[in-house]
Amino acid sequence: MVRVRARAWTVAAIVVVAAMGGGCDGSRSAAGGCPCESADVAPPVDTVLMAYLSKARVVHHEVDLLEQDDRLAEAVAELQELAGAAAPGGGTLPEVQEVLADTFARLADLQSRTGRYDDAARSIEDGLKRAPAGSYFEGHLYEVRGVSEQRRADFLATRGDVAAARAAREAAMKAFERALEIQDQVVSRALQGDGGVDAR
Amino acid sequence: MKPRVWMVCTGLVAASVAGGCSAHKGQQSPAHAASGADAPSEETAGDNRAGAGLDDASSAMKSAAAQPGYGPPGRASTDSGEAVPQQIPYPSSGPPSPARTPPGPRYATPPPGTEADLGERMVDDQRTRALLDDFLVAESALMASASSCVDACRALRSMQRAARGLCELGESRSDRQRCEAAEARYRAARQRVRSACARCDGGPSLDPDAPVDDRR
Repeated sequence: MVRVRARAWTVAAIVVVAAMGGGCDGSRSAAGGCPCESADVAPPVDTVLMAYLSKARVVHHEVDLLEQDDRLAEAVAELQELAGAAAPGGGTLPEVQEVLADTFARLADLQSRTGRYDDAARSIEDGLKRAPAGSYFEGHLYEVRGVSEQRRADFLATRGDVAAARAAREAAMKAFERALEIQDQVVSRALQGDGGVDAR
Repeated sequence: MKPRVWMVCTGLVAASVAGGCSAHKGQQSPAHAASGADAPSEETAGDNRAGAGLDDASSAMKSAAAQPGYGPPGRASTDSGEAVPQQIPYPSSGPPSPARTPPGPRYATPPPGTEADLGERMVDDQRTRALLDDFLVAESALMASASSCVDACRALRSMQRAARGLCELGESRSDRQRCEAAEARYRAARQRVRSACARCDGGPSLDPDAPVDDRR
């Protein structure tokens, strides 16, 4: 029993020391003593960013509920408020850019569902300005543009505006093709060097 | 047994911390550097080898074993293996030389095999540390891999929706060709995802025979 405890203590000591050693490369401080004392500690969590991301999550959840109740106008208003709110880092942080790109994509989808095709097109443009190039979010915005233009084409066709409907359909097809191209690259990049695990 | 356990652990911690801060071994305080025989471990100035902490731990354990109850105070031996005059050898090493026997009080004889026991533990500890390192690396790879599949599956879902939408729009022969090209691109991507990820939770199906507009 004592031997087991001794081994447990030894293992515990190694774990602690390994953890300390891992954060202590011995090159950060020339002052006396262990550099762990004065080394750069992990940067503090950006509470403003965390609050923003949390708020965005709440808004999207609220929009889920509003969609379920078919209250699309209110859902659009919620998303517009989020998109227009002050964002940490002036909206240049990658996490914020992704949130904004996703928000604009959802906003465009809802706007096109309520027949506001031009508003939807503007929202997609706004989202593309924020979406990181070649990212899933950029591809998703093109996908939503395809859907929005498809709805516009259907609407114009019912009104008998054949030429405009054809133009909208062509715009939709080009947007879908662009989405396929971007997401194909996203898939390739995601799988580079991957060992293979179930997606969760 | 308990004091010994504590001493071993303390020695491990102290020596390994020193190993993690190896860049400072040559910068220890003059008092410490000059302490010589009183030093708790036999650090070598400028020793920056990887894993030096374990060597130091070994030395610390030897020093701990040389504390009262297990031998006389002071260092057990030097780097060259030369025994210091005050050391009382263990019974397994044969009868003590009269020239090396100190006139002072004798200490309790440790149980046989103590040195071997400590050495065995050091090997175990090294294995444990190596296993921990392997575990952390594997955990990191697993997390990255799972994250990669999530990203790939999300992009594949978007591809599926785009291909489906494009094919719904097709009217002319040219449009059908664009639809077929889109479906081929989607299938190729699906095959790549299938080869790396067993499945995509939330779809799409990675079955090579599943239609492009499959909504599973």
